[in-house]
Amino acid sequence: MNMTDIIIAVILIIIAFFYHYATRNFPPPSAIENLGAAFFPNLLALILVILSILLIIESILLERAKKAKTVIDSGERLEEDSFAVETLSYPHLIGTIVLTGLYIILLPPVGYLIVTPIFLIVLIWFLGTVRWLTNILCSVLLTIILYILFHTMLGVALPSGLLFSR
Amino acid sequence: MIKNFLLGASIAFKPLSLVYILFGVIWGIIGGALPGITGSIAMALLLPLTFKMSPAAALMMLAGVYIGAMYGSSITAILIRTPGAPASAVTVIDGYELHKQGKSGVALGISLYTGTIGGLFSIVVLIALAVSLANIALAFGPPEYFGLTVFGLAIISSLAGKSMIKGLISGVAGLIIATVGMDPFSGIPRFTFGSEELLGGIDIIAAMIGLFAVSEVFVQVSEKGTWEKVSSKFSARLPNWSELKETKRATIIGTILGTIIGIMPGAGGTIASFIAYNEAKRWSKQPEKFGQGSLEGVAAPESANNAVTGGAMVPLLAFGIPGSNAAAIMLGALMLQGLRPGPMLFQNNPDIVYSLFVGMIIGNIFMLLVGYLILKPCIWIVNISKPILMASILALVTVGTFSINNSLGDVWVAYLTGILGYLMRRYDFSPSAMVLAMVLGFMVETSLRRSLVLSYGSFACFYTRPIALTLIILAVITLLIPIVRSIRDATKKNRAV
Repeated sequence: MNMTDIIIAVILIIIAFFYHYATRNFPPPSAIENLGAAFFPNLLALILVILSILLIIESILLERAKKAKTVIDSGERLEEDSFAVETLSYPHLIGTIVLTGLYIILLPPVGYLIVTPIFLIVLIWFLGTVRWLTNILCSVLLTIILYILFHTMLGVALPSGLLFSR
Repeated sequence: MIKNFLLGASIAFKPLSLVYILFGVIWGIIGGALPGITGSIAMALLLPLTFKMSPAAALMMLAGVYIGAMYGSSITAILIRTPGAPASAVTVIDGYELHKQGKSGVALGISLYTGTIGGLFSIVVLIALAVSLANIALAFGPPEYFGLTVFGLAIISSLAGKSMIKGLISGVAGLIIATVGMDPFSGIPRFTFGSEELLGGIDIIAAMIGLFAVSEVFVQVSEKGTWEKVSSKFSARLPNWSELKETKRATIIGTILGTIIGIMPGAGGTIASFIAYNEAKRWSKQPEKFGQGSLEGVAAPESANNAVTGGAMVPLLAFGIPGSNAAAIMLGALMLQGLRPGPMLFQNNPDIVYSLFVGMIIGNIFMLLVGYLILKPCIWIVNISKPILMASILALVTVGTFSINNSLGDVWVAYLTGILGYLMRRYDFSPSAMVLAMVLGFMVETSLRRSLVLSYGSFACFYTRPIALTLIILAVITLLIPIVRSIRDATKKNRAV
């Protein structure tokens, strides 16, 4: 856990440098606007580097404190950010991420009405033990409901796919 | 002001508005009841639907979701010991105990009634405070806004994470993302890497949906096991008058604390309900009953988390600064319509602000009316299997984000920020702080640069103006307190050794 924090901090510092580097071609501040386009981003890059260094220091200190068996009070957290790490199922997580990515890639060429039910059926099957009939019914029904809501009622031009395009 | 109220009421009582509010409340109760789906996720999922609605209707519907979700989350807290949202986590203690004692209906009824009381009271406070604060804020110039946004960001980020440093990093990362796109002053593209799509910046609505809703789906699918099934057979007896009277003290404590905590940026329903529970226990005549199925133990947190809804709207409406996820989503809905909240909204669009006030009152009344009727269908939806629900959310998110600008780019933003949000939560960073910083980023930078344009490049404008100076000092204090405290604790420990 401690090592990951340090790795994250190093990655953040690298990002900060790239972010700073990307401002090199920004026009210089003008006579009326004396900060210019680069000032605020560079300030943020600097703060990010400082905070990352503090994160490294903190994780080293925490490690020492842990060794000394002192409990560090972690303070309150903003709601909804809590997370249970104990029981993780990586296959389900990675599978869902990959399937969703594929769905978005296939959406324009294949079309919403074909790829959405397939995506839903495959994902529901993949995630757990749902009866096939329930699965297919729910998937098709949801596809139609979303189509009516967004396409028919809100007039969104959902990707129709190469097959149906004129 | 009365004229404005009549104007607001005339909009909020339109049949279509009433339908939207009712739909919002029902959607909120269901979303709130579903474990994992919090009020802000339920709101984020509806965001894409709002862009064809009038701004007033959109805000009223989203406020309805927010209100309904606070009650909805107590349903599963009481019936299956799993809070639908963290805001009802503490309700589990006495609520589930009451359920086991066969008083499920009593617990649910208390949650509903005290929640309505909390919600309505907080709206009264909201109206009084927001209107007067907005009048003060009218005099604010860019330096004051800079101070205000920095102060807001400091509080949000320092409350956000397990470690304050990680909260601050999340905030700075959000500000960095907000700088992508056209520079508001010189018009040159920044960090777009030649992409036309990035010229308008990273779509904040899509990022919100990604960081809140998509990341939650990834969290849910990565957790083994399924939700406990809710039995639809439970004692339906509602609380009687004497039981309700028993909770008077706890309700008052919860309502007042919830409203105050709601106003503070960064502290939402979760913190409010925890503090309210503790205080109600301390001031209770029967503190020993807490944990054994005390009605007060349900009334305090549930009135508090509903009272947060009104409080949370105060900084958003008065200053245009969202202090919570839900407020950030309301701001997103306004931005979709090309509007910004803040004192100017009161001046230019009183119809929107006042219809939101009236709409929130209607929302609370709708919640009271349908809150009990909807229990059965709600339990039915909670019993829908988790895979079907998660897949449905992904499909809804995809279609919804696509519809914002008819662009697949936004879908990718939601997808990638979903993965980012998952990783952030995995490693104790705060997606909430990031979203709030993204929303405020534009304001922080423009107010800073505009201040210096107006003062001809002199930084004096930040310390010669009393309000701006006070706000900046408050921001610095907010950031220093935890550091000072940790140093003091450390020296104490050393001395003890």
